[in-house]
Amino acid sequence: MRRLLLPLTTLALAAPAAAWGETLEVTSESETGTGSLGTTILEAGPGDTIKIPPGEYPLTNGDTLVEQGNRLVGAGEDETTIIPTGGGEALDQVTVSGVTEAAPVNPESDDDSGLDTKVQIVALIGTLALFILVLDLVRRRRLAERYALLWMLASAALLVLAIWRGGLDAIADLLGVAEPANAIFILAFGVAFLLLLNFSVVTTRLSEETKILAQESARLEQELRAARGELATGNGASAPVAEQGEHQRPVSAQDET
Amino acid sequence: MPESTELRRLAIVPAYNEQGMVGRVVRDIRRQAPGFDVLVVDDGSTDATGAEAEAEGAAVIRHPYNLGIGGAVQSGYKYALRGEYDVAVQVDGDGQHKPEYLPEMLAALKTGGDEADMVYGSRFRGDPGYPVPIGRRVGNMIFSVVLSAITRQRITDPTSGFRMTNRRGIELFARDYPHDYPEVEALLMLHAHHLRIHEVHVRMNARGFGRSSIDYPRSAYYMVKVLLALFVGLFRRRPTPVEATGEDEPGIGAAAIAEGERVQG
Repeated sequence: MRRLLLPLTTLALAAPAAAWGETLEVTSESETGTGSLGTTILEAGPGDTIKIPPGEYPLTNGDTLVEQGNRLVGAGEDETTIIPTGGGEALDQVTVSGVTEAAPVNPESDDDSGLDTKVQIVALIGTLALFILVLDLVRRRRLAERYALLWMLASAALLVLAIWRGGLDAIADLLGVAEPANAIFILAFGVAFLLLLNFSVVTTRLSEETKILAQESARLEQELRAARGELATGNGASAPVAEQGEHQRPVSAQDET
Repeated sequence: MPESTELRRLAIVPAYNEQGMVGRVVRDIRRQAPGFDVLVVDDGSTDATGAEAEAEGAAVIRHPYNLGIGGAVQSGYKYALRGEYDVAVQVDGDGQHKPEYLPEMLAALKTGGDEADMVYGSRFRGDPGYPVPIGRRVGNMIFSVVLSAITRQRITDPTSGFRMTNRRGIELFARDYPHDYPEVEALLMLHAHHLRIHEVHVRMNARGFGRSSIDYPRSAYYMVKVLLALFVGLFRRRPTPVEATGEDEPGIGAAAIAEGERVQG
């Protein structure tokens, strides 16, 4: 019943419009293909009316729509929704009735849009926090300057990328990567790899240095013990044998501790 | 400097938790090679290794923590350099090496061939003295082939740590000794510095304690690692050759300079 009734009512509503030209009807809610809103716009001639049944319809070919001056007639504000996929300006330039206009979605946004700005703000706050953290660690001398430089460069680079979005695209272009997001991953991976390599180098040097220190301290300890022993036996040389033994015992006892 | 008669000789005994064995090793060295001072490098043992060695009359260097065999042996060579020893020999603290061969090795060091800089005891010039596990034999053969090709001389037992060297070897090893798998790589170092290597046949004991239990997967792993270390070692940059340090009068001063270079470099 409902199916029959609704088209009838729309027909009734659209009846006066038919006078200016042909009336075409949209039959598919998909973005492209036969019967879709975009295809119907292409099929329509100047001044034609396009009827849109209840449902949600993505709008493409907005430019053609404006050029031809088509009328869009929906099934009522509660029934028909049009989702602009461009900037959403096309709907403002033609006659539209019985239609709810949804917020525009931008699948290929290269300009600022609500979603991207949000991401950018988050990225900005994140990288700024990182940068401040590094600075603070340096200030409190928890991070040696030579490593701090590395981290500051890394976080500064992130900060720049967060602010200057075109930079990411430029880098992606340069690397021949289609998705700027992938370029970020490649860069991040490369930087992380280099940092880890750097730490391996530093660790190797540290362990070499501690090895030398351990050897030196062991040698000094041995020399100290030997010197003490000599001192004890030197004292004991003029003394009776029994006393010499007594001299040595406390020394070796000290060594044990 | 008086030659041959008044040579200062040192036996370096690296030991890690060899209580119950190291004392015997020290005693054997003192009995069978009385011309050698004995230094036990206690590489951070948690048992009474150091005390036991000291009780037998050895000098003992105690590492504050375990540095590994490379660090322990190098400590010995540093001691030898400082103590102005002319000859140093490594004798494992686990009782695998028999000190009865020391006089023979010493003779080879001075008179063998055209004066070798390093003489080492090889198990595989004849009867090894104990049944060597197959895995070890195979690994040894592979290293042997590789090292013989590199040094252009027959090296039958490159993993043997039973080594005696002269002043040049002491200086070299005190300054730089490989860390992870030292025996094989040390041979490469000697070759790189044009120190002559000479082999004598020795028999060895099976390892004193159950440490020889390197199973097959692990010995295969060990082999791959040593081969890698060898490969890397071929390209490793070495400090200035021994000749450049003025080996005639090394003394304490030169040793201190060498130490300084190490720390700074």
